[in-house]
Parts: sequence; C-alpha cells; structure tokens
Amino acid sequence: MSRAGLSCPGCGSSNVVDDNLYCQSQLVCVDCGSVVSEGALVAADDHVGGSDVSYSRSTAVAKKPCMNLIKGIQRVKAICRILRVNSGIEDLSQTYYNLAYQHESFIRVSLQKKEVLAGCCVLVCCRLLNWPITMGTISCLLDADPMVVGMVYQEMVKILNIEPPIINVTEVMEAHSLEYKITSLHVPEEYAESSKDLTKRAVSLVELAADSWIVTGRKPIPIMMAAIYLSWQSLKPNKHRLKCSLEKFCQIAKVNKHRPASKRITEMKKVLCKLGNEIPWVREAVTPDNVVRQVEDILKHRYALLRRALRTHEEALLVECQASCEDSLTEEAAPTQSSALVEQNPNASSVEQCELNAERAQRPGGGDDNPCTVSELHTDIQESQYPTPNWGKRVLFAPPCVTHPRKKRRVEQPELKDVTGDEEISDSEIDSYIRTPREAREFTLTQQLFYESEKS
Amino acid sequence: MNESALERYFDHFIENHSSRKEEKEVNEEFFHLLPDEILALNKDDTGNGSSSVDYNSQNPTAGASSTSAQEDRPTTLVTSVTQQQQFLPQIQNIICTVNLGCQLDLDLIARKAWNVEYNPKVYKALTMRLRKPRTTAMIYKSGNLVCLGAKSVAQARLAARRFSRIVQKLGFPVRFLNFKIQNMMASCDTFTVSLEQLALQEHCSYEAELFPGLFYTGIPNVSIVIFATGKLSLVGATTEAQMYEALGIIRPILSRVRRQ
Repeated sequence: MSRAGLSCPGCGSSNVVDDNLYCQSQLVCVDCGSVVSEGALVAADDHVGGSDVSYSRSTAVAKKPCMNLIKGIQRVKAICRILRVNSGIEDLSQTYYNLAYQHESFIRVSLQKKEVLAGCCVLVCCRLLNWPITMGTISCLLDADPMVVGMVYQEMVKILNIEPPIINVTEVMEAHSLEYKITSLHVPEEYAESSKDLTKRAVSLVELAADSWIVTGRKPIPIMMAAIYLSWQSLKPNKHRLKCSLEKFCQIAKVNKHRPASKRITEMKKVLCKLGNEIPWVREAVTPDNVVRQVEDILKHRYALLRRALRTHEEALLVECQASCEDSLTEEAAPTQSSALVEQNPNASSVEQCELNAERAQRPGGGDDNPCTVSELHTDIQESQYPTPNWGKRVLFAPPCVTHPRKKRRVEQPELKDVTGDEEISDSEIDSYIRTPREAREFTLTQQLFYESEKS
Repeated sequence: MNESALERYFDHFIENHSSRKEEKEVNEEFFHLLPDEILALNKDDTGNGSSSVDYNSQNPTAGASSTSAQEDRPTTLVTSVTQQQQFLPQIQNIICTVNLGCQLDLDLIARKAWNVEYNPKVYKALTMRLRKPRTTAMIYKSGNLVCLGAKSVAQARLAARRFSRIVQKLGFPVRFLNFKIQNMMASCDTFTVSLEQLALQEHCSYEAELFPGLFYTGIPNVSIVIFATGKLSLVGATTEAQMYEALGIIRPILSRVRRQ
C-alpha cells in the first residue's frame, strides 16, 4: 500500500509502500528499495493494557498435578483392584482423594499418611456404595496402625463433609469368613468346613449376640472371629474340634488372633447356656463346656428360647422378691405415704422390684397399703449402696460393662453443695497454702543443694 | 444461670403434669413391647407425681427424696434410675479463665507457695492446686489464670477467687477481671438405646471400630457422646441453660431409639 505524501530520500520517488517484515513495520521505496522509516521490532501498542508475564506462565500450558498426587491416585486404583470393587467405587475414591489431597490438612503431611488417606478414600466410598468392608481390612492392606487409619479417616470425613453409613457386622461376615483357610483344600478332613455353612451359622450367632448386648459398641472383628470359631466347632462337634483352642484354630486357619475374641467367646457361651437351659429335651444342665453341641438347636429355635428364658427369669425374680417383700412389709408399723422409709435392707434393690411385682400381681397386701414409693426406696438404695443400683444383675441380658462394672462410682463432695461463689475467703485458709519465710528459705537452700548434687 | 431456660426445661421434661402428653407418646411406643399381662394391669396410667427438684444443688438424690406421690406406673426392669432422675445432668468439670491484671513472677510464687508445681523447661505455666473445692489452676506470667476441676459454676468462681487471693497474699497487685466460663463437661444417665438405629439419623457419627460411643453434633457448640447403656457425656456448653437446652433436644431423639 503506497503512502501518500511521502518521498524517498534516496531517489525522490513518491512510490513508498508499507512492508511489514515479520512483525516490524517498514516504509520502503519501490523504485530503489531503500527503507524510508521503520517501526520498533515490538510495537509499543501491543503492551497497552497488558502486563508482564512470567516465564513459567507464558510457557506452561496447564498446571500439572504433583508427582505424589499421581502416585497416590495410582495407589487408590491398586487398592481398588486388590479388593475387586466395582468401577463406580474406583472413580469416586479417586475423586475424593483428589479433593482431600489438596486440602490444607493433607497437603503437607507425610507420605505415609498420604498412603493411609488413599486407603481411607476407598473405605469411605465402599461404605457409601454399600460394599461391606472393615477398617481392619484397610489397615492390613496398608500395613498401617489402625489408630492412624482411624484418625485420618475421621479427619477426611470431616473435611469432605460426608456422613457414611455404619457397617453391619452380618454384612461383613461373608467377606471376613473367606479369609479363613479352613476348607478341605487347605486342612485335613476333620477340621475342614465349607465357607458357606460357616458364614450362615456365624451370622445367626452374631444376630443372637446383637440381641443380647454383646455386639453394640464393640469392635466387630473379634466378634466375627468368635462367631466363626464357635460355628466351626458346632458344625461338627467331634473331639478334635472341641479340644481345639482359639489360638490353634487361628493357626490352622492362618489368621491373626485378636485378643478380645476370647472374651467374646466366653460372653457368647454364657448367652448360649442361658438359652440352652430352656431346651425342653435336654435333661442335663448346659454349661460352657458342653454348650457347643446344643448350638444348632439353640440357633434354630432361638426366638422361642429367648421368650422362655425371659419369662423364666421374671418368674424367678418374682418368687425371690415375694420372699423378701414379706419380710420388709411385716417390719412396717403402719401404712405411710411420706416419711416412713423402709429400713436399710440388704435386698433393697429386690425390694423395689418386689413392690412393682406386688402391684402387678395385685396382691391383697400390696394395694393401698403400699408403704413406700419407689423413689423413696431409691433414696434408700442410694444412701446405702452405690448411687445407681447395678441393674445388670437383675435382668437376663445386659451390657457386660453394667454387669461387671470396673469403675469406681463418683462420690460427690457433700460440703460444697450450696456455695454461691461470692463467700468470704478466710485468711487462715489462704495462709495454709503459703510458706512461712523460714520454710521458703529452707526450700530454696534445699533446691540449690539438690541441683548442685545433680550437676556433680 | 438462666432461670427461664431452666424453668422451661423443668416444665417440659421433669414436671410430669405439664408434659404428660409427651411422656405418654414416648411410653406408648415402649408399652406395646411389654408382655400382655403387664399391659392389662396398666390401663389406668396416672403418671408420676410432681417432684420439686432443686437444680442449684447438683445432688442426684435431691429430686427423689422430696416426692411423696406413689409410683403407679411400673418402671421397666432395664432402667437403672427412676424416670425422675433420668436426664438430670451432673456437671463433672468446668474450665474457666480470669485475668489477674498484672504480670507475675512465677519463680517467686513457686518459692513461696506450698501447693504449686513449676517446671519452666517442660511448660511455661505454673500449676497450683486447692483442696476445697478440689481444683487446679494454670497460672501464666502474663497474669492469666485457667481454673479446672470445679463441679459447679459457683464453685468455679469461688476457686478462681481463692487462687487469686493466694497470689495477692504473695505480694502482687491482683485484680479479678473478665471471669468467664469457657467450657462445661457434664454426664447424664438415661435409658438404654440402640446405637445402630441412632446412627442412621443425621449429625451422628458412630464408628464401633474406633470408639464404643456415638458422637452427636447436631447442636451448635455442644457435642454429646452417647453410649449404649444410656450414659451421656455433654461437652462444650458454656452455661447451664445451654446444657439443659441440649438435653431437651437430644431427649426426643433418644426416645425414638430406646432399646429394651
């Protein structure tokens, strides 16, 4: 394009055109080829409104994820493949891992914790999508401390704001029982058992344990181990199996023994004995030693046996209380409604029961002349015994922590009940906390001597 | 203490004559599970008598001893306390702070007072203990004092004042500024519950593999730990009214998952 009004200084021609050489604008004379004028190599106009761009931003295409994040996601995939979960769980766990990894709570933690985080993401996705798996399995897979796994899990769930459903022990049982190498391929015939039968019986045992307070609040894996051990013994109660201890069973089945499992076995056997004693065709007393042979019958008729056992227990309590109730009623001079309390009776708790049972049974002596209210009796109980009576001993099934309380009951300091907070503080009381000048000197001297002797 | 909140709580949940409808609903759910012979006897349900519970004294037996009405309705075999004593919180610990308003020489206090521990290499605060009320205080060089272990708000205040009087006697120009209760921990006894069913509700976190209790975080600032035996532990309230309010919120939730 020729520019009007411009003439070439070399030949005087007015035929000067714009010739952009690369990005440099130049005015060139067509006739002689000389450059009349040229612009800057980079036009100043281009920078209007722009800013300085750093090298990394001008050369980078997109932000790359860090190496540890990539490795973590690969670990998530590996864990999913080992557990053979479906693709939905795999995808969701990768998403959660991405989100959790980039949160400030996890971005700077150790690599070990990041690996645990990978396992926890898989765990939470399995829970959300109804795939039964325990935390113990994940800690085994990662070879990590279960406490650390628990800690990371809790934090992750809080950050991602998820409320995963709880696991049901009976659902996890099948997966757990597959870990036990107890089929005929692995062990001799007298010990072998099919996984299906084992699972079925163990599930029934766990359901019974759940009804009798053994499962709630406890770790599931020892319960499952105890259930599988008892069901293995009871499926073929020959002398080999009955003599086999839990430790030996774990060795045969090639699993790690959990210490609480022995306690769960004892508790389950107690419950089975209570029900076993209700079986009408069993003449001898059912004890923890011979209960294993009755397990099949107990589980088959467990609801009926439970009802019978509860009824028998109630009747026994009633009989027991009627005897002690008669004693306590005859001690009362006259029927009272307020202040006449029952004398401190060693069977005070059963007396309370007795009063209730007396009402229930509509005994003639227990109508209007009911001398004591339950609450007054309760006061007695509290004054004479523990603050709350041990109800675990009165019912047939109770949580073991109530039946065998280990903690000392809290005793309240009675003299500090009616403080207002603004009382006068006596000098003598305060002075008892302060050393006299002589004591302070002696203390300082002794301290110095002590430090000197330590140094030497 | 917020009297109106206490009164509301008392009227709603403890005084049965005003809350009989609610109790009836709760108890009807429970009654249908009782054996038939008991149900037959139990048709004329008159409810519990009134009880005058003194909340100022944290005595669990106070409520029971003052009543004179008869217990018409048989209590269930599995409860450990009468209905009047359920849901009565007992404060176990109060954490409070106060500013003494002056810089303190902890070495001097450690020299001159009997009941102190001071290891600056381990922790920079001095620990002082009182016999009555049995409390512990952490005293800092800046003059801040943290008092722990009191069983009531009044005791906490008295203990904080005693600590500051001890420091005053040691020669410091002490003042009692900005006394504030930071946290209260209370325990409460209720009925047995099914944690598995409770865990299905929102704001509940129950991980049996980690801890036997269920954490309920549906109430702002207050966290409740619920055990299967019905024992509750409430943490985070700063006033007694907040605590009673929290109990008022959790009670209907627990009633729905009551276990025999």
